[in-house]
Amino acid sequence: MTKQSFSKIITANLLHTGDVVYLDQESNWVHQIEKALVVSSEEQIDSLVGAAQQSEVIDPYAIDVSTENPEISAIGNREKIRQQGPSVIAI
Amino acid sequence: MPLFTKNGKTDDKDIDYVAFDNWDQTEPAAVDVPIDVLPENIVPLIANIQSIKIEFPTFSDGRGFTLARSIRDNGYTGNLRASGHLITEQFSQAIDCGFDEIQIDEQLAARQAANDWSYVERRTYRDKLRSSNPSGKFFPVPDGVWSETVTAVQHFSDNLFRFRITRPDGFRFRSGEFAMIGLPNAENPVFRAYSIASPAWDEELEFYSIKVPNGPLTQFLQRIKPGDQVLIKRKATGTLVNDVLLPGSRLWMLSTGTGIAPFASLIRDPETYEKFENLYLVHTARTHDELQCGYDITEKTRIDPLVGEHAAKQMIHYASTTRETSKQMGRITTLIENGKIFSDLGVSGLSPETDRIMICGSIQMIKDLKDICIKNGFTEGSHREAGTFAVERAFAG
Amino acid sequence: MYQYDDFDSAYVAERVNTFRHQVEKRLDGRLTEEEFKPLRLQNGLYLQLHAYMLRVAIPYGSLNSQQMRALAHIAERWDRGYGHFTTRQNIQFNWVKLVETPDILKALSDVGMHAIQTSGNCIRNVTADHFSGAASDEIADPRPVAEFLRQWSTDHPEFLYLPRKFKIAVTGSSNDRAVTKAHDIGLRIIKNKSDEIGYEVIVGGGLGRTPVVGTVIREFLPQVHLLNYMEAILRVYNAEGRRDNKYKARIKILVRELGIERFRDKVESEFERLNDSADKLESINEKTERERISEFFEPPQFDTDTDLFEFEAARRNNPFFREWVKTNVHNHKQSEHAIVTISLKATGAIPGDASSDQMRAIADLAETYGYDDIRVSHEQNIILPHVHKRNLPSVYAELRKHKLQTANVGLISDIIACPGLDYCALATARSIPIAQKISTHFSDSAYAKAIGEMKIKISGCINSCAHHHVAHIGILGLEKGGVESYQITLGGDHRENLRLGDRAGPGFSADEIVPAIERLIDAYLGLRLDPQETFLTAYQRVGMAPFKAALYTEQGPKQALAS
Repeated sequence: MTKQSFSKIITANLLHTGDVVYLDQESNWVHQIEKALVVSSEEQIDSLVGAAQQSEVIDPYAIDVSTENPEISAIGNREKIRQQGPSVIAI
Repeated sequence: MPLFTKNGKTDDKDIDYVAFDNWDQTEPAAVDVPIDVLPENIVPLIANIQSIKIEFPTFSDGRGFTLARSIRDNGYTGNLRASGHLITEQFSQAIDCGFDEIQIDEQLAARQAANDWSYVERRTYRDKLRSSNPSGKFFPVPDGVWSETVTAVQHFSDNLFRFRITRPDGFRFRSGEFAMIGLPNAENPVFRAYSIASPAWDEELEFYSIKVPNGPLTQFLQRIKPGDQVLIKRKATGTLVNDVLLPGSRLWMLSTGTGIAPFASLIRDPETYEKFENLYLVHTARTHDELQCGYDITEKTRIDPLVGEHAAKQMIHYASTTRETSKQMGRITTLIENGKIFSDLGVSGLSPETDRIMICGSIQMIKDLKDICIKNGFTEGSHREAGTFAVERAFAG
Repeated sequence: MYQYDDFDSAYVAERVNTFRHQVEKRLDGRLTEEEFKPLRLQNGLYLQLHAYMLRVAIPYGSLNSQQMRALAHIAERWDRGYGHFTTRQNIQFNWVKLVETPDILKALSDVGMHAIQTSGNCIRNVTADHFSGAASDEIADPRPVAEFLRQWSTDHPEFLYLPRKFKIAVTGSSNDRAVTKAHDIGLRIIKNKSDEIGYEVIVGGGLGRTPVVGTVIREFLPQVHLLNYMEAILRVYNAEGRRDNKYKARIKILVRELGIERFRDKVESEFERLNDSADKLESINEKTERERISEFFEPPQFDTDTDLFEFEAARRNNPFFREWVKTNVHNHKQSEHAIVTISLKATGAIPGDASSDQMRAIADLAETYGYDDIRVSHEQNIILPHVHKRNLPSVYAELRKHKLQTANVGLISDIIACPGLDYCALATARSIPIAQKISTHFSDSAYAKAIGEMKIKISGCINSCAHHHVAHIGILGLEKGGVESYQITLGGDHRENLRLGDRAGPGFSADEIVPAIERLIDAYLGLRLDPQETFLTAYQRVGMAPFKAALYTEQGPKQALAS
C-alpha cells in the first residue's frame, strides 16, 4: 500500500485518430500502457500535461495506476475500459 | 488592436467608449456594453447611442449575438462593434447578427490569419426562408423568356428599391421602353411591366421597384439578392421613346415615384441630348427617401463618361415631396398650374411650339397631366404619328 | 419525404468544405483545441473514450433506402461495420478518425444528410413521432414542421452559442410518441375550436440531472407565428439562461427560476417586438415555405388491394409470424397497411446497434415493400411505416435471414440503453452489459408476453440519455467507490402525461440487478388484478411500497441493505 501512494501516468487521445495513448519515458505517445512513464510529483504532472497541450494529442490528463503487477495497469472502470476497449462485443 | 469589417482589415478608429454603468444615459455617447446587459435594458436607450461596443469574454458566450440582433431589430443604425475573444469562424455570423466590425487582441490576431477574417457571401437558411424563391426549386423558364442573374440590389426605403440584372445577348430596346419582369418561382410566373432604367447601350439592365406587402410579384421581388435569377420577356416596348416626340427645344420628363425609371434611361442616352437642347427631369414622391433614386441617377449621369458633359450643361433635376416636409413641396400638377416650377427654374411656361412632354407615374397623375397638356394645345404622340407629348400607360405604380 | 433542394445541397456541401478547412487549421495549429472543439461539435464530432465518435442527424427520424445504404457504407468504410441508433433519432459511429471525418461528411452530403448541430450548445436535431404520416391517431403529420424547424435552426447566426444544448420535439398525435414534455421545447399539433391547426407549445422539460416535466407556455399558437415564437423563446433563453454553471444552464432552470408566468411574459413581449421588427421571418413566406415543404410529405400512392389472403394464411399457419405481428406490427391509417417495427433488441444484443448488412437488408425491404420510407425511433428500433399487409410474410422472412425478427417490441427485453461506460466519456457505469443480462434473462418469449407491456431504460450516467426517469423500470448507473452501482426508479411514463419515476432506494451492483428486476416482476405478477393490468397501471394503483418490499427483502443483496 505504501508504495502506491503516488503512481500516476499521463494519458491522452491522439489528435488525428482519437486513439488512446500514454506518455512514455522519451516523451513519445504510445499505445501500450506498460511503456508509460510513471511520474512522481504533482509538479511533474502539471508540466507534462501543460506541454502536452501543444502537441499531437488532445485532452491530456493524469491517471492513477497500479504498478504491482509488476506491469503498469489502469485503476478504475473507466480507465480499464479506455485501455482495453469496450467490455461488450459489437455485432 | 486589429479591427476587421466586412471589407477586411481596417485601421482602428479612435472612439472613446464610455462604460455602460458610468454613462448617464442622457448625453449621446459611444457606449461600451458588457455582455450581461439584457436586451430589454439597452433597447430603450439606443436613440441616444452613437456607437456601441459589446465585449465578448469568451467566443462561446452567445449573448452578444442576441444583444446585437435585438439592438438592430429595434432600429439602431449606428456603429456596432464586437470586441474581445471571437474566432474567425464566427465572423460571418457576427456580421449577420448586425455587427459592423470585430476587434480582437494582437495575440489572437497573430494566430488567426488576417484573411481568415473575411465575410463569406453566402446564402443562409434565414435568407432561404425569406427569399423570393424559397424552394430554390427549379421551374422551367417559359418560352419567350430569358432567365438573368441579379448583379446588384439597393434599397432606398421601406417601399422602394432598385436592382440590376445581366443583359441577355440579343436583347434590344430603345431607351425609355419597358420590359416584362417575373421570378422563376412558379410554373406560370407572374409578370409585371418594368421600365428599363438603364440606357440602351448599357451592358446590364436596371430597374426600380416598389415593395407591396402582398403584391403578387413584389412581395418576392423585394427579397432578391445578387446571384438570384430574374425572368425577363424577350420583347421590350413602350411609348416614352425619343421617336414618339417631334423635335423640340425643351424636353420635360414628368414623373412620380418609380415612374422616373424610363427617364433614368433617356438621360443617359446621347440621342436625347442631340434631339433636345434642354432636359427637365421632374420627380415627385411622398417622402425624401423616395426621391433618393432621382438624386443618385442625375449625379451619376453628370459624371458619366459618355453623356456627362452634355448632362451637366443641358439637364436640370427638379424634385419635390408631396407628404414629407421639405424645402420643395407640391404635386407636379399644382406646380405647373401655379407656375411655381417655372419661376423656380427661371424659365417660361409650357408651349407646344418649343416644349415636348413625357409623363410617367400614377394613374391619377397621368390623367391630370394629360388634361393639362391637351388644354394647352399639346398633341399625344404614338408610334404611328409623333406628337408633342407622350404617356406611358403600361406603368402602374 | 423531404428531398434536398439546390439550396440544401449547396449549403451542406459548403459546410463539408468549411469543416475540411477547419480540420486543416486544427492540424497545423492555427486553431487550438479549445477553439476547434465547438466547431467539431457543431459538426457532430465528439471525443469518446476510445476514439472520436461521429453523431449523424436523422432529421425527425426519417430515412430513405439510399440514405440507409450510405450509413451502411460509412460503417463499413470508416468504422467497424456497425452503427448505433440513439435515443434522439441520430446514428453514432464509434470509431472514426478526425482526418477522415470530412470524407464521411462528404459521403453523407451526397445523400442529403449531415451531422450539423448534433452536438454543442445549439439547437439540436429536431425529433418527431416515428409513426408520423402512418399512425391512425394522427391529427397532422409533424414532419413538415420538423423540417421547417430544421431549416430555421440550421446555422441560425444568433443561436449557435447558447448557454447549453437545446432540444425540440414535435408530435402530431394526441398519443405522444415523441416525449415532447421532456424537451426544451415540445410542440404538439392541435386543432382549436374553429378547427384550425396550430401548436400547443411546451417549454422547459428535460431529464438529466434535474428532471423536469415541461410546462405549457402557449395553449394555441397559430401556425404562421411558429418561427417568431421560437425565436422569442430562444432569444430570452440566450440572453438570460445561466452560463455560470453548466448543470444549471438548460432552459428548464431558467423557467424554474423565473417562474413560468414571468418567463411567459418575457417571451410574449419579445414575440410582439419581433412581429413588429423588420427582421422578422415574414408570415407570408413562412406559409409559402411550409406549404412547399408539406408537399414532400404527401402520403405515397397506397396500394389499395384488399386481398389479404396470404397474410391471413401465414398468420394462421406460422406461430412465430403470428407472435411477431402481435408485438411488432401496429395499425396504419390505411387499414390494408401496417406499421412494422424492426427490433434492434435481439436477445443479448446491444440495444440500437445495427450492422452494415442489417442496414442494407432494411434498405432493401423499404425499397421493395415499404414505399422507400424508413424511420428510426427514440426507442432505438427501426420502423417501416408503410407496409401492405399482403407483404408482411415476405418482410418477416427476410428479417429472419438477418436476425432482425425479434418479436419483443414493447416487452421487457425491448430495452433502451445508452452506450454507457463502454464507449461514452461522460458515463459513470456501463449500461449495455446490464441490458444484455436482462434481455438474456427474459428471453423466454412466453414469459415476456405474460409480463406484458414493460419499458426498461438504462442510463449510464445522470445525463439520462436513455430516459430512465420516464421508464416503468428505470435504471441509472453510477459509480460508488470505484464500483458500478445501479439505482432503480419505478413508475415513470414517457407518454403524453409524462411522469417521472420514483426512486426505489439504494442501488444494486451489476450482478444484483437481474435478480432485483426478477423480484419486481414476481411482485407485479403476484399483485396485478388481471393480465390486462400492466406493470405501470399496477404501480399507479398500489404505489411503491409492495415493490420496494420486494426489492429489498432479506434475501436481497446485503450491499443494498447496507448502503
